[in-house]
Amino acid sequence: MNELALPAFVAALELAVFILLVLLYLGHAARKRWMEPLVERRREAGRSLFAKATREWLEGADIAQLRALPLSDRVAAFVSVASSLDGAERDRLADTADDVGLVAWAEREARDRHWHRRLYAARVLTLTLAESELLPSLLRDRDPFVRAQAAEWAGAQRSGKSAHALARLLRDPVPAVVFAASDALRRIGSAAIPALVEAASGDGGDAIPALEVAGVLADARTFGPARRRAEDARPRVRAAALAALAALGGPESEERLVAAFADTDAGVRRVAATAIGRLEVWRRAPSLAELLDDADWDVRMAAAGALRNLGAPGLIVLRDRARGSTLAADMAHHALDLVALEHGSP
Amino acid sequence: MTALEFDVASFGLGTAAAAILAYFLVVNTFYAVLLVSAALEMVRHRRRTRGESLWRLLQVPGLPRITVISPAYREEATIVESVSALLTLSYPDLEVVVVCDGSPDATLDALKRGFSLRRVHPVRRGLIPTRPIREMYRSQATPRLLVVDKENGGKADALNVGLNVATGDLVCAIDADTLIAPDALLRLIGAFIAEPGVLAAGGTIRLANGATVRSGRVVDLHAPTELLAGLQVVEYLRAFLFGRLGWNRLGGNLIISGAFGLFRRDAVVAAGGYRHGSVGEDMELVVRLRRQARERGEPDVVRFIPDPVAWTEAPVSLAILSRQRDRWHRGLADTLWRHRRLLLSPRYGALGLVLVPYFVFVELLAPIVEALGIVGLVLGLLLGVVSLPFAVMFFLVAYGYGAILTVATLALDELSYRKYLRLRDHLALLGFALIENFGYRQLTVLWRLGGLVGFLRKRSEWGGMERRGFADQYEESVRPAAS
Repeated sequence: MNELALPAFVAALELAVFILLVLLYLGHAARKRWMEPLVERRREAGRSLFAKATREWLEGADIAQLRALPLSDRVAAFVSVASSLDGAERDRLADTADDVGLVAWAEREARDRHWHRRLYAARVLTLTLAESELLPSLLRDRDPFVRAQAAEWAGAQRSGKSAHALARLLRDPVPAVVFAASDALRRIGSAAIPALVEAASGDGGDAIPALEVAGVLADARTFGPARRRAEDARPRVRAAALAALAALGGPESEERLVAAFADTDAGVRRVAATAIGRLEVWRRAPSLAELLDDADWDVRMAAAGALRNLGAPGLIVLRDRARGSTLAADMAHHALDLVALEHGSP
Repeated sequence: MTALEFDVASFGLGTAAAAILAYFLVVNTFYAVLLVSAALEMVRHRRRTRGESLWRLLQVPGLPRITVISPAYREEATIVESVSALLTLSYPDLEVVVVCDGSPDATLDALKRGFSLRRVHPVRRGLIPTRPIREMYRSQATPRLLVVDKENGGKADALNVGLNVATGDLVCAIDADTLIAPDALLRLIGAFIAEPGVLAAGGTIRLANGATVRSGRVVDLHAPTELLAGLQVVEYLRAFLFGRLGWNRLGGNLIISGAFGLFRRDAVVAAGGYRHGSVGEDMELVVRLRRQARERGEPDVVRFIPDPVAWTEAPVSLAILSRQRDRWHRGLADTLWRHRRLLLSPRYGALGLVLVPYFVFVELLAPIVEALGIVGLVLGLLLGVVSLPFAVMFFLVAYGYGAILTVATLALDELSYRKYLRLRDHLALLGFALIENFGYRQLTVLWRLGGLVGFLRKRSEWGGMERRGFADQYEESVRPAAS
């Protein structure tokens, strides 16, 4: 009898755990199946009202109806509508969010000690476009994802007030934060240039993302730091600086880019070749032709692509280099086939 | 046999049975730890992504280009549908490279017809040696599609050709019959943005058997009606939800599925690409990437993200399934043998002290121990050296505990993703979770033992896989509704 006691105990324990898990599993499935239509109906009502708010001002009855929804449904309905909007529609929706108490709720949650509550609150605040004194503290939050979300919030406001704080985030050790801060600075645009110039001029790790954003914004004020950084000892900094110079164009940028064809780093040569192609500087076709002989495949590919971009002068060079059986001829031949493909010629 | 010999044999058998029981107890307890780790990780991931807008990511310039590499061999039934689905994936900078690995069927013709392919002069990096390329084609309709026709050299060789022609900073290696969820790349890229030093990231593979597939998309999911497919659905859920997710907190992953994984191209090329002559090339690459990163003193992060989903077709014949499992186990043995230096080496941190020992002592040797356990138990019962209560205990620890973990995985999936909506699907999955212990699990032990024997005999063939095609599957799925 004693011999069976242990197996019986283990069996009973396993059976109990098994039944509990089955109940949890099926109970959750059943609850969701029966409750979800109710929740979905409430959320759909919320979504309809928020969607209406993007087109017109809501009347008191509509606002009251939204306020009557449970908070979780109100927030979920708002998030699902606001996430896919931009511009004037989003502005009108943001006002409604404030009217129905979402901003006040999110500001309370953003002070919570739990990171996930602060994060969700920051997401809602981002969508409400609210201006709040909480933003600077969230940009310094101890959780990187909260910092990243705060950066997105600052970017959504498109105001230069947070530009320097965002530029400081370009030094963050977590890529998600740098990514969000870069995008925010890009969205802020012209007002972010002084902060970007400062970041691009320093010796920290923020120079690369700052130059990358400068390359998108193409503001003449970034020319100075970009020109200096084009001589940096670090290849990735040089490449980012050349991309920024390429965005600005002009004879001096052009000279720097062509000089970079002789750079020791293949990544820098590739960026320079691509940039000359984008600038469509047809006079540089012979220099690009030399890069078709580069030892690095990606540089040859970029040079061939740039020559295609140059139009007729580039095509002449490509046809000339397509003769023979060198690596350059291979790449030129490939580029010419792509030109034929683009134009649908046989 | 003398009485003394019988006593010694009895003692030996009894001791072995007890050791095997202890082994199962330890292994299943480790699985329970993995499950708890997976649940914690899932909670964190769900909290982190709550309310996140993937749509915003589509508008952000500067996301790295992704090249999806799809090796194709005997895929004429599914290739057009799966490549069409790849081309409509939501990602702002995407290139698709299909490598036709000398397929003897009409895979290349199907591609030529389906995508208006035009021959272009072939160019490729010479960084990784491969079998020769015959032709290279670009799609006139979709220039983002590049098709490479090459001499047959196996999956690793085809992937290496893809690496040689890819222009993306990240490469996504998939199987040609894999259907990737439209937002999967946007979700997977998050792994590379979230933390520094990520070498690779993998998503969840789910089985599309029983699903309704339309235009290369899974639009409705049901539990399969075929027993073998249903058993594999449960197996896959267990493997990915706790087998992979749990490792995120316990030293990182050692496997990124060959059917869907995203890698840093520079890291893979620097490591020499996929290894020729390896049947487990996906696992071998991840181990090599991590090993080399460790040796250089660099981060070796390999992440599993649960919500990017790719769908694949499970074999529904025992013969094909047995070949697949045999190959998987040969691949595991081959990889662990090649990297045996890692085992218990403190130089490699968690990789050497936790991950590799786990894969050796649990994954690799489990079929041997389980087979010994079953045979020993039956023999012991017949000879009277193992008592019935002990046999019951063995069953409870080996299979009862396992079934509990499987049901817990189903519960975790339901609480997190709710992919199955109908009650009868849940009941079917519960049924599969119980049935798998009676016959199926023992069969997989046999197949994996076959794989071990094959490895010892140095077999390296792949074994075929007949695709029925998702279009056929779609027809099957809609038939009951239509009738």
